Amino acid sequence: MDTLKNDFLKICEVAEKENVQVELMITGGESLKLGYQKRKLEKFEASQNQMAGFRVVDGFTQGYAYTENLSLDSLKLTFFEALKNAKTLKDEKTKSKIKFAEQSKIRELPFLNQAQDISMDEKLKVAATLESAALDFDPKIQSTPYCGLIESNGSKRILNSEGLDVSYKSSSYSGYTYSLAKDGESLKTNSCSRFVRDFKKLDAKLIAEKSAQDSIRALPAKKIKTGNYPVLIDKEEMSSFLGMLAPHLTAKNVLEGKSLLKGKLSQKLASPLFHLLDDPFHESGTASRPFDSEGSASQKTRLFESGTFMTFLTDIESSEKLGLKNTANASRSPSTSLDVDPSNLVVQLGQTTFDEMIRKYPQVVHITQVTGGLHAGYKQSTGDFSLPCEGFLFEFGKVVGPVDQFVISGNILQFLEQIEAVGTEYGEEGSSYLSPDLLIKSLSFAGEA
Amino acid sequence: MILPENRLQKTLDAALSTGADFADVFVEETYSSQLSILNQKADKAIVGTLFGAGIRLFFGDEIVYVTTNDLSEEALIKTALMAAKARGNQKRLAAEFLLKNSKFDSIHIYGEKPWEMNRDKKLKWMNAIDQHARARSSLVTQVESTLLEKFQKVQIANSKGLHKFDERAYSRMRVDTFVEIEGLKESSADNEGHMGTSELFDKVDLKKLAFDNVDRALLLTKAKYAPAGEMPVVISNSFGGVIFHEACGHGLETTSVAKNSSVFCGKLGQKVAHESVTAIDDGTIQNEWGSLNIDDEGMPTQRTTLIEKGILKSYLVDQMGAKQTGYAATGSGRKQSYKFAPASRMRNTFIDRGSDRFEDMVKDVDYGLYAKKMGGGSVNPGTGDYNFSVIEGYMIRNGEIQEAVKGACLIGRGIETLGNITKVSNNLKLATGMCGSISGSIPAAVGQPEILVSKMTVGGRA
Repeated sequence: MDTLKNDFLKICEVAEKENVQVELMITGGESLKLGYQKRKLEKFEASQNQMAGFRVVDGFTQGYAYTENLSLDSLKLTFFEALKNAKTLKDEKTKSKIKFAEQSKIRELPFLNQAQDISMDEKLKVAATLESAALDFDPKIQSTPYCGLIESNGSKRILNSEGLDVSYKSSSYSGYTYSLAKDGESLKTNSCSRFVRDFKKLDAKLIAEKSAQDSIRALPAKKIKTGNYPVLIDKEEMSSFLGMLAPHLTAKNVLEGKSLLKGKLSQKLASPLFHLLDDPFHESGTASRPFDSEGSASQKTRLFESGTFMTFLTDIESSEKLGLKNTANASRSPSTSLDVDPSNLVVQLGQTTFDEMIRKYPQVVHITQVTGGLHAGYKQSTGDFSLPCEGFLFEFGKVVGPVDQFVISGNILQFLEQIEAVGTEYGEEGSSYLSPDLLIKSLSFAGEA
Repeated sequence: MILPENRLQKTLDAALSTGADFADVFVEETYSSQLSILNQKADKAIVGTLFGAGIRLFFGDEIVYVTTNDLSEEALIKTALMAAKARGNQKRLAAEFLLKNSKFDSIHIYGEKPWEMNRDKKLKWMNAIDQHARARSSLVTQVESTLLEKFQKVQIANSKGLHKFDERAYSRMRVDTFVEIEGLKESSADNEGHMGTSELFDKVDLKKLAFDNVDRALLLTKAKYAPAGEMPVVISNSFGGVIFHEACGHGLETTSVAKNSSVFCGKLGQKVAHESVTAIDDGTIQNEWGSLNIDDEGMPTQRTTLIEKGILKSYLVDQMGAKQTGYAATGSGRKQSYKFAPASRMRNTFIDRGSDRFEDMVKDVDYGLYAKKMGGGSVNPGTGDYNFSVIEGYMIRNGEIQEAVKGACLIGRGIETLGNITKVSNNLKLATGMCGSISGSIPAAVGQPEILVSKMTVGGRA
């Protein structure tokens, strides 16, 4: 018996009497986190969660409410909270009615849920290796401040009062190691992580040893002189730059006046080498899904072709307001309001190898770590960034040595214009931002005098 | 009280049944509300409740932590047994105990709860901010004001007989203002809030909050990019304290110290900062953003002197940190919600008052930066490398504050920077922030008087 559906239908009856439409999103799942420190199990965290989030549409406005208690009484109370919220926002000036998604053909993605029966001993062994293989790699590895295995199993279901009922399950494993290397007074950390759907593909030794090797390789780093340098952004660090671009790609931010791409459809904004796709079906993508957060069937969307900006990402409401096609990029969790976000942003592979890129200029800085995070160095309203980084200085194609304690500055739209070469392979870490290495003509560096 | 005492007693007894030497249970019921105004109309209204429990077991240095949404006796015992069997395989070793319910006594004062307060009153505050901002300048293109409220009830019991209850209210108003001049867009954001309920906003000068925000955005439209390179920096008070939070605070948490992953390991009693620096982490300030009654392990909060005249005096210690390092716990076990195991975290962390004058600091600088308003930051506790952004900055030349600059980011190494703080004023102010780490995102206040750092790397344009 589908208790949840029965309960939802009862709530739909109430909604009909109130003359409103209702949508219910239910997420649930289990996760297990295992981590070792000093060769002893330090972390064993198991969690189960479930949450129901209502979106109630009262003609022109919508209100939200959520709960972790899925009993019928609790769901009804939460529905009325969402209804109250919708009525709070009542605004007679709004002209277009909000619509719900209709049931449509959903593409199945079997790779998302590869149900596996892995014993606890196997998981513990992998978690232990994520630490021990780094510590055993070299005496210079002082510790692994963070390392561990995360197993996640989740589900998502959306029902609405127009008859839509869609759901999917997903499962994944992530292994990660941060190694802290010390050589004299020099300290350096580096991380490696992998996201897989198939447990057997998680190579804990490789993750730990790569993390250790990269930390040691970055010792002892020198400061770099302030100036302008050509830059090779490592494929595994491109997520920071695609993350800066992402909010500008959404129609919701156009409507709210927050997108730098507003009014720039069909314009050549980036290097002709730049092709960008929103791909919710990519097997290496962590944001793959068969439908979006309104229940609309997922689809691929070409965002940049040969540097030309092709379209914005939309949901039902923003597509209607801007007269664009719905790209099925509605995004929310049960506890948040509707937004528009990319699924997996994928930069198309190019034809220039790493070795060819570092030989393009007498000096090239290979950025291997963007250390700060965007909240401390990126201003979305202008696209300006100032990001602390680490990497390697190359001269005439040969590595001079590791460099750190510098900040690269620029603007994300100018960054796209300055792409000089695109690499030939993706990173292996698994991400919702997939890109090969990119060679950027010039960025400003703040380092030593 | 959220759950009856005997249910927690049975849960803890089940948790100890396979040889754990300690167990605690953290029960939470949290109401959250988000209300926002965008483009002069109410835009978002979301309310919800979190309801669940986390059960934690210590097997020596090993921690097992499990969570559940089902708070029935049967489910809690089942969850506790699952945790117990995850690592334990012996008979019960821990001593018998009986929970001793302690009286709830708050040092903080709360008014109407978020669900009791009339929503029109909340919308009135937000509309006022919108109107003040638009009245300030015709160049304002958009104002977004958001009121976030949270009321958390927690119940904590452990196998030493501790049984405590607490209530934590948080209210915070965020304002985002966007301006445009001849196609050039800029924005500014600010927050005002406290540990308490929303009647605060009857007292806050909302006009000033809106005006300051608009003025800053307009200033940035005229500002040139900051220069790049090393130079002296005067950092303002209030949110300027994020520098200590990042450069030092995280490295003093036993979460890093116990793993030998902090640059401050083994430095207790040693000089780690200039003698002008005394730093405090204080959870006892009434209704301050990062304050508590008890931490998330049930220990009363306290005022902890971290650095006194440059000498490292204490780490921030949670219960597992105390077990691993031997240092006494400082009431610093904190977490976002029952979904996270607690870890040692900061509360209200600040550099204490000094005796220097702001004017003298500026006079000391021939060529440098005045960082008037700071943005977010981050740190790598293992290396001490930190960074944070400057939202509002000015060049200093020949001892005088001059033109505004934008796009600056400050980076450095914690211990080096602490040694380079050469002047500290007596004008201490605190500000609200959200701190993210392994036990989630928690309210933590930062603060300081104005300080002079003799050398920092400024990330601007070369």
